[in-house]
Amino acid sequence: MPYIKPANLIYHQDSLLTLEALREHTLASTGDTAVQAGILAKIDARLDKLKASVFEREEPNGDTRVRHPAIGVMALRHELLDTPTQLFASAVKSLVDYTVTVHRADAVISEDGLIRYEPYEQLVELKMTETAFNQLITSPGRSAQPATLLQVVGFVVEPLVPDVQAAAQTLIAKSLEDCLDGTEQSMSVLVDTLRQVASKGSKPTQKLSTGILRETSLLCSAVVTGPSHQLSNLGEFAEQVKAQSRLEMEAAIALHLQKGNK
Amino acid sequence: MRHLDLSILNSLDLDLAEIEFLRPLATQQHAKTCKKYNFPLGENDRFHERLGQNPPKGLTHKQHIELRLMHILANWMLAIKAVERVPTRLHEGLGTHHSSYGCIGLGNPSANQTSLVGSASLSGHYMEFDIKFARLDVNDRFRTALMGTEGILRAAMSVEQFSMLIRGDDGVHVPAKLQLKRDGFMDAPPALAPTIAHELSFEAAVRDLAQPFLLTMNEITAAMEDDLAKKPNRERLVRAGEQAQQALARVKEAIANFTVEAGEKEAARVQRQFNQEIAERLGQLGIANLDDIIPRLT
Repeated sequence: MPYIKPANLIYHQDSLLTLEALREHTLASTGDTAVQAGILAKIDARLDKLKASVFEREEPNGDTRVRHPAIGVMALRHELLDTPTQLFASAVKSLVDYTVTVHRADAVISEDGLIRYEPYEQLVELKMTETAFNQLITSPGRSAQPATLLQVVGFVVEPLVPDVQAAAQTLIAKSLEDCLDGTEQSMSVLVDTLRQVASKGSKPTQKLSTGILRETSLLCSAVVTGPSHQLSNLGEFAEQVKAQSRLEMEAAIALHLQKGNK
Repeated sequence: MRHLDLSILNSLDLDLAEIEFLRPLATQQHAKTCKKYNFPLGENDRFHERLGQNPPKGLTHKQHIELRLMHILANWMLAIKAVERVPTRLHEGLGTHHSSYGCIGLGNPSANQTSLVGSASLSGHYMEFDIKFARLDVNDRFRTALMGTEGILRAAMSVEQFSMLIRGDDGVHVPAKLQLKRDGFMDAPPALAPTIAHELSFEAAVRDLAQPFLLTMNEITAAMEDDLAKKPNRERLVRAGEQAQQALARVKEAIANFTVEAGEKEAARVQRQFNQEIAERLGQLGIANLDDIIPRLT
């Protein structure tokens, strides 16, 4: 074979040997013959599949078709969506998306050496938001960007369910509420303490008065810094949402114009 | 050291009854083989580690794989499904783990030499996409952090192929070297065109041409072994040397002709590949037959 060399089949050969050894072992094992037949059938099916996963053969027109599990093609589609769609880990709904597909492919090489690729099995399909895609290709290093998986070979992929990031707005609002609730609770604890002091009739101890004073000053600052911190978080989040929405809009306009021109 | 790839066993989809069926003989055989090679019969990871670092002497490749297989069969407890499910987890009714949650990362151009698909590896640089499942962690009540979990796939391509992917037309198929996590260890893809990094070289062709010269050189080696105290033997050695000299002159010419021819052929092949790709692209845009304006590569 001119293309596939022994060096391209090292692990493949190991897998074949493993299955052959398992086959011999199954034949040598004793017990329920139905179970034995079941295992043998599975091994034979896997062996056939494994052998079919690598080949090199001549086509009737003289081309050479090379199949090897490491040969594949990747494709990217920038698409305008029909309706605003929620994708994974995005604070805004998307108007456009990037669809990434990865296929296993045959390389078909003509007699004079031209290579064509013919996809035969889809391995992965996923969608990325405009923001995620742009961050992916501009960020240095191996940063991970969210991707909505549509299909993964060997796994069951269910339709997207709303995630915590998509609902960040609700979470921030809730967090603001929680923060004021917390202050309110501390306040009622303080009031209880004051009532106890009043009911006793005697002067509170030095330790207790320091405690009350500290709690009072803490509550004074908490009622201001807590909500204001949460509000600046909200502001920051709003800014992020605005920037992402703007990006979505611009991409949608560009795509719309481009499709119109074609 | 060779590996036994567990993924090939997992892909068989054996159920617990089937694993139990294989166990008794495996346990017996494993104990026997280990005793024969005086190899300690240990627990899982330690066994593979020890076998990798300090294997018994005189073990063939097949026996090595069998030894690992018996160890795995004797200790295999869980059935692994060929098609897996990802658990869904929620935080206050919102998803943090789900089968549709993924992430994609892109490595910096790496200077590692690797076999790419349909690309010269001359520069030795490549880009690699890394696709994984992902989860969202919630910190500070509402801040979220994306974390990659189980790997799915890696796709490596040259810097030029990467640029074509992101700047080229929608849906253009860009060749990539794939590594699917579930398939375990992955062989390097075959070279489809001559590259310096990997096979498909011109060595065999040149060796054929040089054959007459290599044979005369053997003659010299043979003559050297004779008793050189005798004059005829010394003369034979000189003759062999002269013959080799003449053979080299002839072979040199043939090799020179061949390299020029092969070089031109290779340049022409690259040119044709370029023409074909451009013609396809122009065809898509409805402006085919522009061969005249296509600039030449060489």
